[in-house]
Amino acid sequence: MAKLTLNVNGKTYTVDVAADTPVLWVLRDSLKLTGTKFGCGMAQCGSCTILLDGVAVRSCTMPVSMLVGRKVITIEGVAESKIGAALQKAWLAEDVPQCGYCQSGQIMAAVALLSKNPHPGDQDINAALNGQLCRCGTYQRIRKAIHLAAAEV
Amino acid sequence: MNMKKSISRRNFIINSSKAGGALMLTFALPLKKSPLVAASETDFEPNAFIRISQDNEITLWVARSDMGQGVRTALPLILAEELEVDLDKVKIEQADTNRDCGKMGTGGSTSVKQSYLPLRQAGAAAREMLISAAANRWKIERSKCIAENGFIIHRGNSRKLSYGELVAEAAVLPVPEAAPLKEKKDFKLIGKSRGHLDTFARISGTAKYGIDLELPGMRYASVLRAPVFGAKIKSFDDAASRSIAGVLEVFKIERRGSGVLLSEGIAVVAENYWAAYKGRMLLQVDWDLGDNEKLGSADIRKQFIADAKKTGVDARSVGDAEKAFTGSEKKIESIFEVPFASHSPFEPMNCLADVRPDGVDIRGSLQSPQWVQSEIARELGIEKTQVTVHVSLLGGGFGRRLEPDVANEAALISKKIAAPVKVIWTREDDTQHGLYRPASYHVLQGALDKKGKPLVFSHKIVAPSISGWRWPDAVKNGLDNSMMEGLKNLPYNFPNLKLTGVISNTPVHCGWWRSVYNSQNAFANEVFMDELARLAGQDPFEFRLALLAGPNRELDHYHTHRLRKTLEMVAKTGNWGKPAPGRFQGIACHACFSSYAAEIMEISVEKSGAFRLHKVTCVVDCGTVINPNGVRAQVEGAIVYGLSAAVKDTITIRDGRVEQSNFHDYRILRIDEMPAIEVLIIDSEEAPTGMGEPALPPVAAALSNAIFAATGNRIRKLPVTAAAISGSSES
Ligand code: FES
Ligand code: FES
Repeated sequence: MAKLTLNVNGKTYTVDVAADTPVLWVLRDSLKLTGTKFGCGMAQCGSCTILLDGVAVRSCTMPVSMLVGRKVITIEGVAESKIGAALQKAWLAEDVPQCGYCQSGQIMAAVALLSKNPHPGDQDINAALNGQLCRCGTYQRIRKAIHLAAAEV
Repeated sequence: MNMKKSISRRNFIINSSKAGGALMLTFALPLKKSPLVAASETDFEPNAFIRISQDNEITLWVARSDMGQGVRTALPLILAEELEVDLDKVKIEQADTNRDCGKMGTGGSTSVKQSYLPLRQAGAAAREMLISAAANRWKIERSKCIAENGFIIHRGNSRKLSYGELVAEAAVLPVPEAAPLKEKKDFKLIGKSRGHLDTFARISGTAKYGIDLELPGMRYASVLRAPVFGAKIKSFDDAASRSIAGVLEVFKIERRGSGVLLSEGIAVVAENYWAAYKGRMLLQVDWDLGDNEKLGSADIRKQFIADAKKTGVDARSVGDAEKAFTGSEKKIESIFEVPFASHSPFEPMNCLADVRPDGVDIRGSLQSPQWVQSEIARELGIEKTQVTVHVSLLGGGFGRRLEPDVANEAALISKKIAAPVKVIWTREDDTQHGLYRPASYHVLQGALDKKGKPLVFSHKIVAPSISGWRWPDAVKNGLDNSMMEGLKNLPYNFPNLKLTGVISNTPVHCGWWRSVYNSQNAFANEVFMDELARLAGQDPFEFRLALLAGPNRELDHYHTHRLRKTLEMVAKTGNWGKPAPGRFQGIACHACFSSYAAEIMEISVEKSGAFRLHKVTCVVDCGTVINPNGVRAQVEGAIVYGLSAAVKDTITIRDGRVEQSNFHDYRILRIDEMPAIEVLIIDSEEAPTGMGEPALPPVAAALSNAIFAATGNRIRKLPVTAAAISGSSES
């Protein structure tokens, strides 16, 4: 077990967990931030996507020890940023989710995209969200919502 | 609490009562008879409740699972319409089994269909009772009162009373026998697009799915299940598992009851999920692999081919198809093959069970809480009334969450450890221990007469029976009726028809996958119709249209004129016959779950066989539309789901096991492969019907037909491969 100090959504947490525990399970089970979802556990689906120092990463395959000294943003903290709030607004306007299970990951990936590229074209969206699967098939709405949010910010 | 009862028209029974000064209406939302629901349909078992409190709080309790199909928006909307309140005034609560009793279960695209009239009647009854209460209070005629926006207003006078001010008086009035329902032209909510009520919860991380639930003192469990169908545990070594910090217990799950849905397994229980998972990965098991050790997809195919030689059991026949086929000179026979498919809902299977001496609580993402309740009662040897099932939001269902297997497993583990436990499946567990869409094999024969007119259509489906595989009694006269869904109601007016089925069970676990057998039957029917049209030298759209022409025919409650209109509309909306340059079109239509769908797929193909899906145009007739936005979402979703099964990976069997394990080898459609989807909904006065599934069945056929248009190569076997498209493999 390892005692670690983590910075998540601007808050400091101390956890005592096995050092190889994936970030995903620390967020969900230790910090009770259950908005980050488990979908595949092998970096294949994107539902566990978080921002690590602003970069979209898969939390299911990243050991928690890698978080030390870095800043994490999860879906619970996404509304704090202008881009995150604009994306949520656009997601509402397009009524994107069906079951919604993949949507935390979709939004995190979209935040990372818009932070780097404020006006992405369809190809940019394809490239950035290619690994974000949605079993309910909301892709058409996701694309529209990203364009809408980009126009807002 | 005093109860008043009224039998309103069509035998919907509404009870009213006064509870804590509030008006409470209880009524029943009927559920289609299915093997999942054993209870008698004639008893009045309320399973829906409306409560209007003195603080103007309107709450609707319903027992319907929301897996993304939007029932948590559609149902309150229907109520709000008749009750004359805004949608945001109605709070929706999930009813639990037991405490709230009644029939529950979500499957077969039935939620809106079955709830429409009862909900409207309940809303209208409440509205009329409130009007009566106001008329009594003001001592005026009822006709002087109108309900509007949560108030009863004295017409031509400025006074008004909120519903809350009237509920106490309304609650003691008799429930009207037949409260008048609003006319369609007066609808304010029904038929207007709007977003889903819980969208924000789903995009802010606050929505609680089964996997997010917790109880104090809760443990986590991960289960290693027999890798081969029917395999048993000989012995196991858990020393390494137990050495993991946090692992508490390791044991074989002992089953009592039916258990047909569970593979044998070993549970690792721990203080946290990661420890449980690590412990489970370290288990050493000596398996008795049993009879299926060598089973492969090729064996199953061989069995189907052999069984296809058997005479099929007739589901419907017209004329003498065999004789006409033998006598015809212009005829074709085609074989279609559809593989196993996994539901793979995005939220992996999970369940939180708390088995205590004084009762059992089951919490999770469940589509049929009542089945779970009775299964667990049987498994634990207790009364059903001791089991309460609480349904959370579902991270997708598609039929997988109809099954009680994971809840059963969780209950057995909780009982053994005498503590609440959350069982979480890995994606590998989900992919390899699913209840798959059965693979199937179809023999189709068609013939034209001397003048080239359609003469014969015959279709024999050879497939495992989902029901018969579990409950042998479900098979009557050698036929599982559900296998013939989308087949026995074949709408085309051939003078000779023969629609038959042969059950060919396999050890592979099978279940109800989105649209069930319609996905296989429609694929074969609609590709074969394309083949027949080409044989007749006709346009595939015109060919279908001619066979749907003439006076309306009703087949198994489906109407040919509704399908015809749907087909005509798609040809118009999708520019049939005029694809964009370099693109090719395929068309298909199908009716199921009481709705109608027609689709045009537009694609382009490269020499290599690589293809691009450009556009799908879909027209649907699902009767009165409650929320067009919701219907559109379901159509988009069903098309993508169908496309994933048609063009991506399938479930194959090797050495008695499922070969695929996760999204790297059971791939689904990605955003860059997504075609544009245009949806048109036919304006209809008919009762609303289901839309979760009907847009799926035509997809694979429309795609195969488009590929033929582009290449001249006929795809009769799913999934579509580049080799088959380029003609370099026989299909
Ligand atoms: S759960 Fe991490 S990518 Fe799927
Ligand atoms: S909305 Fe259900 S998986 Fe994307």
